[in-house]
Amino acid sequence: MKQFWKSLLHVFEQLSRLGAVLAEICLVLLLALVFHEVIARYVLNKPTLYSVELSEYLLIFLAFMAAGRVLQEDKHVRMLSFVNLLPANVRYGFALFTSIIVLGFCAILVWQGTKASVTALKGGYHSSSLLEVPLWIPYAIIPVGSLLLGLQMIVRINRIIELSTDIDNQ
Amino acid sequence: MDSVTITFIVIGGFLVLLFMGMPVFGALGASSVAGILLVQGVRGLGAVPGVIYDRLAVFPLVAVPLFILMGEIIFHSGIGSNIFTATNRWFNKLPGSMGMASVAACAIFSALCGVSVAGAATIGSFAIPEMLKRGYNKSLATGCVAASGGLALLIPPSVALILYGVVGDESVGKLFIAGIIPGIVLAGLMMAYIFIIGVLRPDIAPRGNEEVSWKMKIDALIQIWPVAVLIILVLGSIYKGIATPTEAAAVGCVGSLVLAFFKKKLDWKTFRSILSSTISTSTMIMLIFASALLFGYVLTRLQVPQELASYVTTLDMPNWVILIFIFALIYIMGMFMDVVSVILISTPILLPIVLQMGYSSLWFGIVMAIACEIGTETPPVGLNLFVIKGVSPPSVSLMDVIRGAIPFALVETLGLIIFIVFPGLVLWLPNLIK
Repeated sequence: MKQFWKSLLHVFEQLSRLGAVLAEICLVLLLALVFHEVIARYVLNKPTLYSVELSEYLLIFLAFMAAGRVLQEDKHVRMLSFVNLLPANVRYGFALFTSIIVLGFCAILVWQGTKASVTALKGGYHSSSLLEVPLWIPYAIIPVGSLLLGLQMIVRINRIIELSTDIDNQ
Repeated sequence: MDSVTITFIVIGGFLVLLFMGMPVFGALGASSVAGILLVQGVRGLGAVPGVIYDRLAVFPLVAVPLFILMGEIIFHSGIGSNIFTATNRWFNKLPGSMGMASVAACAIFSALCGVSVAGAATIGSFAIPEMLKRGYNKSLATGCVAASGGLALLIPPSVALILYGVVGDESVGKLFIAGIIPGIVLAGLMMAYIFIIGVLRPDIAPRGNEEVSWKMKIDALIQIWPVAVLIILVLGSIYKGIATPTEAAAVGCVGSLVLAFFKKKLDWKTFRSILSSTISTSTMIMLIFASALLFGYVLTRLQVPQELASYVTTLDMPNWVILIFIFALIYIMGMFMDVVSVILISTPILLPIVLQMGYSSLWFGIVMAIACEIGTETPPVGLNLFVIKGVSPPSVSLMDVIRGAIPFALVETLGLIIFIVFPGLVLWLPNLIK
C-alpha cells in the first residue's frame, strides 16, 4: 500500500513536469503565431483571421498547464516574513492548513470548470469567429491545469506531514 | 448576512491566509470563493470558471509571457555588460561616475525588459563588484542598483503596466508611452543624487580615474547598437501605432533571439532554461491574475468599489489628502506584497475613487507604478533588496543594501510628488499619439 502511494505521488510529480513541457511548447507556438501575424499583416499585407483567437487559447493553456510545476519548484509568491518568525511546529501547522485550503480551491476549479466544459460540449457551443472552435476544448484547460496543481498539492501535503512527523520523533 | 460583514470576512480572510504563508493566488482565490458562497450559495460557484476565462483569455495579456520571454533572452544574451561598459566610459571622470553609470545602464536595460528583477540582477552582478573595487561605500553601491532596477516597472515594456491596463481598462500602448518621460526623470533624479554625493563625499563615491579616449567611448557605443535597434523596433512601433504591444513583444523576442544567437550565447541548454524560467514567471503571474479577477468580481458584487468611491466624495476632503491616503495604502501593500499582487488587488478598488476625483486612469497607472517601484526596495518584502544581496560579494550584508536603498526611495518619492503635482509630465507624450 505504502509502495503504491509512493508511486502514485511519483506519477503526480511527472504529470507536473509534463504540464510544464507542454506549456513551454505552447510558448514557442505563441511566439511563432504572433510573429507570423506581424509578418502577414505588415509585410505581406495579408492578415490572418485566426491568430488573435488562437493566441488567446494558447495564453490560457500556458497560464494553467504549468501551475503544478511552479508549485513543485515552490515559485508561487508567498509572504513568508511573518511566518518565519514562528516556531517550526506552528509553521508546519500553518503550511498544512493553507495547503489543504488551496487543494479545496483547486477542487472547486476542477469541478466547476469540468461542468462548464461539459455544458459547452453537450450544447455544441463554438466560438463566434470563422474558426468555429468548439469551446469545450479551451474551457477544459482550466480544470485540467487545476487538476495538475491539485495533484501536486497532494504531494506537498504528504511532504509536510512527513517532515513534521520527523520533527516530532526527534 | 449583510454585505458589510461579508466584505470584512473576504478581505480579513485574505489577509489572514496571506500572513499564514499561503501562496498569494490561493489566498485570493479561497477568500473569493468564501465570499461567493456567502453571497449566492453553492449556485454562485458556477460563475467561477467564466469570470476567469473571459478576462484571462484576452489579446493584450498575451504580451505578458512574450515580454517576460524577451527579458529572459536579453538577460542570457550578455548585452548587459556591454551596456554598463558604455555608460561607464561615457560618465568617466564625473563625480559619482560609476554609480551614475549603473543607474543609466539599469534604465537602458529596463527599456528591453519587462520585470524589475532581471535588470537589477544583470547590471548589479558586474557593476557592484566594480564599484566596491573602486572604493564605493557598500550601501551606495548596492542601493543605487536596487533602486534603478525597479525602473523596469515604469520604463516600457513593463509587465506591471500591461496588467494595470487590462484590469483598469486602459490602453497598454498609451501606458507604455506615458511611462517614458517619468522613467527618464526618475533615472535623472537618482543620478543627480549620486552626483551630489560624489561632490560632497568623494570618499564614499570616488571619481573615475581611468584614461578613456574618444575612440573607446565610440567603440563602446558601437557594441550596443543592437540595443538601440531593439528599443526602436519595440517602442517605436507602438508609438507610431503600427503594432499593438503584443505584436511589438513578438518582434522584440525574435530580435533578441537573433542578437543572442550572433553573440554566440544561445545553445539548446540555454534556450530550454530561458523557456522554463519564462513559463515559471508567467504562470505565477497569470495565476495571481486569475484569482485577482475572482477577488475583484466578489468585491464588485458586494459593491465595495462603488460604495467606497461615493463614501470618499461625501468626506469633503481636499484631493491631496485623499491622494496621500491612497498612496500610503499602496506603499504599505508594497511593503508586504509583490508588485503584481498590489496592482491587481488595489486597481479595482482605488481606480473608481481616483476617476471620481477627476484624474485620468492613464496618469494613475503611472504614479501607481512608481509607488509600487518604491515598494520593491523597502523592507520587509523588497524583492530587489534580496536580489541585490544575492548578486553582491559576500562582504555586503542585507542591512547594507537596505540602508543604501532608503535614500533612493526618498528620491523616488520626490519624483512621485512631482508627477502628482504636474500630471502634464505624464500625459503630454501619450496625448501626442492619435
